[in-house]
Formats: sequence, structure tokens, C-alpha cells
Amino acid sequence: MLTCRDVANLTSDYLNKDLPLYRRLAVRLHLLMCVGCNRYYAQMRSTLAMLRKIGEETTADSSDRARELFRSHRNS
Amino acid sequence: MSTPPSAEDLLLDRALAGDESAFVELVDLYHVPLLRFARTFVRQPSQAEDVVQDAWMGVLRGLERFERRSSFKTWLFRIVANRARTRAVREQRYVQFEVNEDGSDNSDNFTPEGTLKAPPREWRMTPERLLLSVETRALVDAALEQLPDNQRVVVTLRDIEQLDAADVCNVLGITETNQRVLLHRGRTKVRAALAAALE
Repeated sequence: MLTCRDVANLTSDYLNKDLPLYRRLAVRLHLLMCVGCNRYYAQMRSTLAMLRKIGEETTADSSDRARELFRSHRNS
Repeated sequence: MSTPPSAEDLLLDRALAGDESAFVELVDLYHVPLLRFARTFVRQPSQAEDVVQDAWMGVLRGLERFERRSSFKTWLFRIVANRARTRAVREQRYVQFEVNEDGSDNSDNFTPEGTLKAPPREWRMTPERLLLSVETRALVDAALEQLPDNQRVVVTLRDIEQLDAADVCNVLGITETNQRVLLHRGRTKVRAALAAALE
């Protein structure tokens, strides 16, 4: 049986789906039985969702400069 | 080659053929992510801006030689990483990617047998609210800011820019193991910083 500490150390890999099947299922089993680890895992998942959302913020204010760069390169 | 060219490949082809609007589309797509990434190495926004501009010049010069063995995105991030690192060294800042013990395994939270002493306390917002709140957006920024440079760089590439592990190793020239450890530690600290504010 994995301990809570083991699970905390494997959470990141588990979220990346980087664990071999047996390990993955062992983590899953622990999460089903342990309220604390389950909450930790849910918070980690929320954390990653917040980080991913930052990556979706793009503002395109770069077009003019890009055109300039491209022209100056072609003319050089 | 049986795989059809991606949308990005088509943009590259057009840019190579001299189509300015294709280049502009590429810049629009990646300028903000690259700036965000450059800022993980050089702190001054104006310096980061310089690094990225300079990198785009490098892209223009190198485009014809780009062999497409990695994705364009990975290639771009690697160019920025190299330039930003050179700049950081000049500022006497050096981002070290070797991993050593930093005591970030939360050992206080566990009994000697490895059992959680107490469940983490619940956060005062639902997962949905967390994603929409302006307050939590600022908390995430502050948490990232407090990470050691090497952890912030890896978390930014993996969790913000969504590069996969192999691409991050490629961009930074680090081993798979170091990448994994830095990611794990960085994520753990970001969660802990959020918990401190949200419990």
C-alpha cells in the first residue's frame, strides 16, 4: 500500500499520466480511500488548471512590429 | 512523408515564400507566450522585450535552415531560452538546472510512517470560481514569482505553455529527471502558496 507521503510525491507524475499502470492504479486506490490525499490532489488539479488558463491569455498587439521586422529583414 | 502538413507547417511555408501576413500570424500566436517565458529569466520587462525581438530576428534569419525535426514552438522557445540565458548571465544572474535537495517535500505534514497528519483544509472557493477570480490570478502570479528561477522556468513551460516533458528538456538542455523533479517541486510550492491564501 502506498503511504500518503508516497502519493504526495507521485501526484505530479500522476497528473501528467506519466506512471506505469500498476503505480497509477495504486495511486488511484489510495485517493479513493484517503480524504486528505484526495483533497490535496483536487487542489493540485485546480492549481494546474489556473496555470493552464494563464497560457490561454494572449493579446495580439505585436502585428505592426512584426510587419516592420519582416520588411526590414527582406530588404536587408 | 504520409502525415499531412499542420496548420503551422503551412504558415511556415507561406512565410518562407515571402508572405508577410503568415509571419505576422506566427508572431501573433507566439509573441505573448515568448515574452512570458523570457521574463522567467530576465526580470526587467524591457529586457525581456529585447530578448524576444532579438529572437524573432533570429527566426527570420534561421527560418530557411529550420529542419522541422522539432515543432516550431519548441524551436522558438529554445531560441528565446538561449538568448535569455546569455542576457541573464550578463546581468550576473544564472539559472542553475542541476537539482539538489531543497527540503520541499512537505515532510512536516506527515507522520514518520508517511501518513498525513491532517487533511489539507478546504479552500474557500469552488474550482470554477478559482478560475474566474481576479484575486486568484494575482495569487498565482505571486506564487510563481516566489519560486526559485529553475522551478519557475519549468512550471512556465509545462503548465502554462503546455509543452511536453521531452520538449522542455530539449528547450532547456536538461535531463528528464531534473525536469521532473523541478516540475514536482515547483507545482508543490505553487499549491502551498495558494493554500496559504485560500484556506
